Amino acid sequence: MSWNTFKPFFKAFVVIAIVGGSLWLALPIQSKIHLGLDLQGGSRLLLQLYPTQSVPTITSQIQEQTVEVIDRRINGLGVTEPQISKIGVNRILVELPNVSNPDQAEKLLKQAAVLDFKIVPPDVVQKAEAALAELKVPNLPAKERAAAEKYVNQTAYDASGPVVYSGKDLKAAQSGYNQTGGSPLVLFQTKDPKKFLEMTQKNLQKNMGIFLDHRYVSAPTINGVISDSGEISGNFTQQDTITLANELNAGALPATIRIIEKETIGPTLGKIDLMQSLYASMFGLALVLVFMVVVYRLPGLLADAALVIYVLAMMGVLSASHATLTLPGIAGFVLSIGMAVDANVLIFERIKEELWNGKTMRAAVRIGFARAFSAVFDSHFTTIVGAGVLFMLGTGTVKGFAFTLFWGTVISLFTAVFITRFFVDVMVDNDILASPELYGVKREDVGVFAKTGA
Amino acid sequence: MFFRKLNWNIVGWFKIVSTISYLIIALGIGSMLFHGFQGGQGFQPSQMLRLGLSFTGGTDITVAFKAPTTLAAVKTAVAPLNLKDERITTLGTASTQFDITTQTSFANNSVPLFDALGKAGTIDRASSKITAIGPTLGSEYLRNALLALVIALGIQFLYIAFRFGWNYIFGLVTVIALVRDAAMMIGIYALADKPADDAFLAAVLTVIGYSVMDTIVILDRIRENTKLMAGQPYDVIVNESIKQTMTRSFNTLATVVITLVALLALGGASLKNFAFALLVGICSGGYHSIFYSAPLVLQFRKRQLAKAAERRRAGLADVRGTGTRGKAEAAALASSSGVPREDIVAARRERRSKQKSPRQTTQAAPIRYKRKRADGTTIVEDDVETGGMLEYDQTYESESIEGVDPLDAQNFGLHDAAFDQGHEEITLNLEGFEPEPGADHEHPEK
Repeated sequence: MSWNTFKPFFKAFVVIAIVGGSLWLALPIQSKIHLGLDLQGGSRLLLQLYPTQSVPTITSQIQEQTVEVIDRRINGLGVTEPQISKIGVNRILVELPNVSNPDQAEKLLKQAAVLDFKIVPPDVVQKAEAALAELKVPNLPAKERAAAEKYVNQTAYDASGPVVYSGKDLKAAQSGYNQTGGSPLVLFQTKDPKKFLEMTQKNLQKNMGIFLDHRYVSAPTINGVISDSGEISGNFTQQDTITLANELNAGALPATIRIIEKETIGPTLGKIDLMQSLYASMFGLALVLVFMVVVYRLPGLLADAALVIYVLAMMGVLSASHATLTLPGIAGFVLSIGMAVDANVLIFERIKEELWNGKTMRAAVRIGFARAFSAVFDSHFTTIVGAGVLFMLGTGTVKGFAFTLFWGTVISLFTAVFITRFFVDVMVDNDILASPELYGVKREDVGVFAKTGA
Repeated sequence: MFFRKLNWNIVGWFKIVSTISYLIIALGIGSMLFHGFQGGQGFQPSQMLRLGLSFTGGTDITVAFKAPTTLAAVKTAVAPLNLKDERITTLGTASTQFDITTQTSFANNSVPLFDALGKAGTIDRASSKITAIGPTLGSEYLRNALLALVIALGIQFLYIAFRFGWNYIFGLVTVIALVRDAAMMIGIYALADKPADDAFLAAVLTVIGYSVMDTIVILDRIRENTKLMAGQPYDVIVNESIKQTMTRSFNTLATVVITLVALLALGGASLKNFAFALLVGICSGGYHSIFYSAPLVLQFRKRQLAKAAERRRAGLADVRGTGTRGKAEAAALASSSGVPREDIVAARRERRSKQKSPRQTTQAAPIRYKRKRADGTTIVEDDVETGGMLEYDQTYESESIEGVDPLDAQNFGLHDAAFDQGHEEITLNLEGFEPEPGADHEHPEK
């Protein structure tokens, strides 16, 4: 058996393998294709690390430490499938799907969670407590509010003594309740009981101020000697104590963090967007399929088959690359459907022309594919350039568009040329349905332009 | 088939087509200038095109309330925040969803914004979304976007040079069409006062690629037809090429427009802006590549031919005016119309023989052979027989344009360059050629 008789079977095998492989990769579709946060709801946060006094420059080591702390904190939050990735040397991308309380999650990420124990003079305690009480007043004038905030946030810390014990030396923290009043508080165990014991012994009956990120939390009086365990009370809600305990367990952030880009989408809205864009793509796909059949008849139908294979192959690529499908990604996908058949339009128009020029069916197909290829390649190359550059330099949201457009163009170059060619060849070589009418050329028009040579 | 049978003289529409295109671009520039002056603080270039939040930094929030509320209530609720350049709109008809865009960034902390909005009603966070970008990140994205634009344009130019490097007209036309498409997109965006954001950039880059491909296909057909329809006037060739590729142009356009319309109609609010930008760009790309680019080739070609003819006349004048080389005489000769063909040919032959002769007279040194004798001494012999004349005349080779047969030049793409140097365009049309019986080129055995 020579290669030429074997060739169609080999090609058929390749086509079947592509279809099978894609189906195997992409099914069941719900679990294989990862939806972007914009489609399933959630938070996408880009964090920037800023140097502090203790950490003058941000190194990749600091970044790594920060990622670890953030990872521990998010685990404590109980978010499913969080994704934390390093970007450059001073940025971290955090993606939290299905986060129930995005505001709390953001607060959790930003909180440096540096806990300091300081001995606070009685007058400072008085002023700080007064300021805290003032902040609770609902309609406090802005000026007074700012003054109170400043006192709680900074002045109280500066007016107190040196740090006598640090949050780094806590072993485990958990949220709990005050046995008498039932108000929420944080229970902790110390890592260095001896140091804590000496500290409390020395400062009996004094106020031990607790500061979180330099902010005054509370200053209980040391009534007895404490060695291995203690509690932090303050104006806490239960949520606050859970967060604080989580942060203390995860450790303090080594650098200051600010969120520089945020995208938070409610799950309901995400689902609406997903459904709308899916309907739009189905509708677009259906219109293109109909268009091809109406305009190009039999080859149009074959191109449609290739287009369906293309859609399957794209699903396969999306699942295999573990890429997330975002809303702009779907837009790129839809656009690539429209562009994928462009190659077929170029080829079929060329085949028609060759038939008008008086070529036989077989010759027209062969020449049509060969001559149209340079145009097909042009169209794909110029699109790939745009998508590639966009993927490298685009913003986070646009990257999704560039990704699907890029791969869509690459794959469609294969499906629109190779697979359609295979289908058409099988038809024409075996004289199945190989009459010019089926290719959109009237029988009396075959060879109409043959004489002019144009 | 449809378009091929139409009796359209598309190249004749060039002026109208070009005017429409200029008009839209001019309107765009006008509206950009208007926006630039609008602020009341003199001309501010940064105000010309409204940049999207991804480039300026800021917040875009879609907030859903559990119960219907009013736009006024939402406006009052956010008033204390002193938002910069805020735009508040109602989404849908239920009066529960509102969209607020502002250049104030709530990226680091969006709690104050939600707290303020909470005064207008209970917020349904599950149906709300917020996108916020810090100002420094915005300017970084803008920098990246411009860089992406420059790189993409650079690669497209390289590709055009690679595809059409042999023919500067085709290259130039492709670049002009590309610039026009981008200009049209920006112009229409300025007119519609839509924010140019990262999605707009994506659309521009996609459209540029599409426009280049569309133009290349038509220009390729012109090139092909120049050979197939040799002997016919160039405007007929161009017109025929446009008509031949028109079905294809419209159909490729249609498939893309179909999908974009589907996105625009059903894709939801988030994709509408993007689909709109693409639709504008793709339609503009189709318009330019069909009705503008190919006729523009003809315009350039005419200009080129006119220049070549002038140069030819000038060359003739130069040769005839040998000795005096008076500029006035040359100009007078050049302006005289209807120079006979024989004169041109004769003059060129004369000129060329003059150019060649000094080179040919310089005699190369005769070739010498070194020969070793059996006793170990070496003698040097002159090659008397040929006198070195067999040496390859390299001066002839280096004069590539002068030395190449015009017909070959046409086939090898040197045609235009040869043409510039004053060669006649010689085309050989063997269509319907029948050798005369009894002519001396007939086979002897017949």
